[in-house]
Amino acid sequence: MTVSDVARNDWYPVAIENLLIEGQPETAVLMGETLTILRAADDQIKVIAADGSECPLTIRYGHVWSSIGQPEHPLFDIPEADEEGRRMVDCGPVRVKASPLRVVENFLDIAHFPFVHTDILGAEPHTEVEPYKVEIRDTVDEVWATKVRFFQPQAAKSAEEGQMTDYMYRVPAPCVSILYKTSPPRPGAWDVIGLFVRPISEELCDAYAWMALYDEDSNQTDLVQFQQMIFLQDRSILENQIPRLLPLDPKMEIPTRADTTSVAYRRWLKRKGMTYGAQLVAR
Amino acid sequence: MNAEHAEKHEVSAGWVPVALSADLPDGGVMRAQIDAELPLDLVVWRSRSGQVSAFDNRCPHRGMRLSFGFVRGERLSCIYHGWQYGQDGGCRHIPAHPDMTPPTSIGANTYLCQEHDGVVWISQHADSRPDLPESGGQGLRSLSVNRDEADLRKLLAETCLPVSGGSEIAPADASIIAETQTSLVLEVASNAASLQLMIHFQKVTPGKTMLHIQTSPDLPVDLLISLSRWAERFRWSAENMGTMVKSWDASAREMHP
Repeated sequence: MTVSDVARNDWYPVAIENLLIEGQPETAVLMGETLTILRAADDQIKVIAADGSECPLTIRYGHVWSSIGQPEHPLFDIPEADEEGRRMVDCGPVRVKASPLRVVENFLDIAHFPFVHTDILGAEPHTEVEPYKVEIRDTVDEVWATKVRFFQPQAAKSAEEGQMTDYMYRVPAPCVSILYKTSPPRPGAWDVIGLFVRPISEELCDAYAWMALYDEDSNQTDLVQFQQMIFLQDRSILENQIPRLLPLDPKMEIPTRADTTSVAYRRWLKRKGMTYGAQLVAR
Repeated sequence: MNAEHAEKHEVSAGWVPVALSADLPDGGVMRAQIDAELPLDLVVWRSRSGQVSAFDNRCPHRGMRLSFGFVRGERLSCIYHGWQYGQDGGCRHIPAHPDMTPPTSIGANTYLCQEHDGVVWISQHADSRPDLPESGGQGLRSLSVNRDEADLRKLLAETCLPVSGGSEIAPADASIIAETQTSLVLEVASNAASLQLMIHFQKVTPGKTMLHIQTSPDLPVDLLISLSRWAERFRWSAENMGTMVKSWDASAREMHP
């Protein structure tokens, strides 16, 4: 299918900035088109399309972002990325044989914690999801979920024991999900974890996890491995959801109140006309 | 209808074997694919009390394959959010809302699932003939072969079976002594102690068939092992050679050069 304008004219992660070496170009496929990312002799990073033309470029959150269209808006902002004392952790891309929209939706869900991330992010019998608040913030055109709470045996690498964790979720773009969670070393502050997804095709994507944390004790490898372990548990689920394309027809899959964020996300995608990775009617 | 289409239509109207009973223990969960009028992808599971059930392999919540789920008591739980289903397919419990009784409209689509004499059968039609196909003896093994059922039946008509085990394997010609829509019985010719194999066919996808094999009861273990090796050799021949190789040694050499 042809890529809709909404999907085409947006920003997507194509590389990790500090891994680009001069003289060693990388390639990344974005919605079927092969892009080349290179660091030139003057240290400038460029993204080149298959036809040789230069693509739009933004470098932010440790990643190189580009587009196969012409984004009319700048990349979303995460102010916490500029805060003193935070560690930035890029976890690298993980390939997932699933729709990018399914990947984002899974990242917004907490009801699966006791079953998929057992004894880490959740555990029976603490399975209840209390009501939380979801809104589509029209001024910024983003989906936000707030006042989310869940009991977690080991909420983060820095956590020593189980605790009730507060969460917020934010979807600033169809293929990006950001979560904010209670920071164990700094009560009152939020740890930030982003999932930036590049669709390779409608049923295949690379997911880049990124974190901005307060954690002075853990080493970088442990932080990356913790996040990768969590994501690989999710991948086992994502690659076995049928249909692969995210159904936007509300009759196809049955939500409950715990799924309010996902319901809002699907409605928001439909309203925006984001159909890449989705199916409108049962196929 | 041409003959091939007629045969396919007939198979789907009745029972299809999906497992040997011994391969689905209490609390077991497995996936079964059936190439029928509409291809089926099913989850087949056995409750702790021993009851078998079969559903569409898809949780109605977020589409997760139920064949990755787990059994607790008399219910199947989806691995994603732990939704629990009773044997009638109805959703009984949603862990995110533990005090809520799930609406009766939430459920997995079910299929008739019955077992008898060592084989688990599925039917997609509510009005299937109530009599299950004949089965019996002891379960030997199930085997997946990348070949159409029709070809396999022809190849089985020409095969040799071991009639004793250990170092004294003596292959003997086998013949089909009974054949139905779902199964056939192979018997070794001219032997005082008659050896039979009952083979039940499951069309998995076009070009792929699962054989569920039972054999005569009370056979010595080394003969059972020889029969299992025969099944592997048969599969190798069916997948790699156009026609059956009757020579025991030749096919063994081809399989392990």
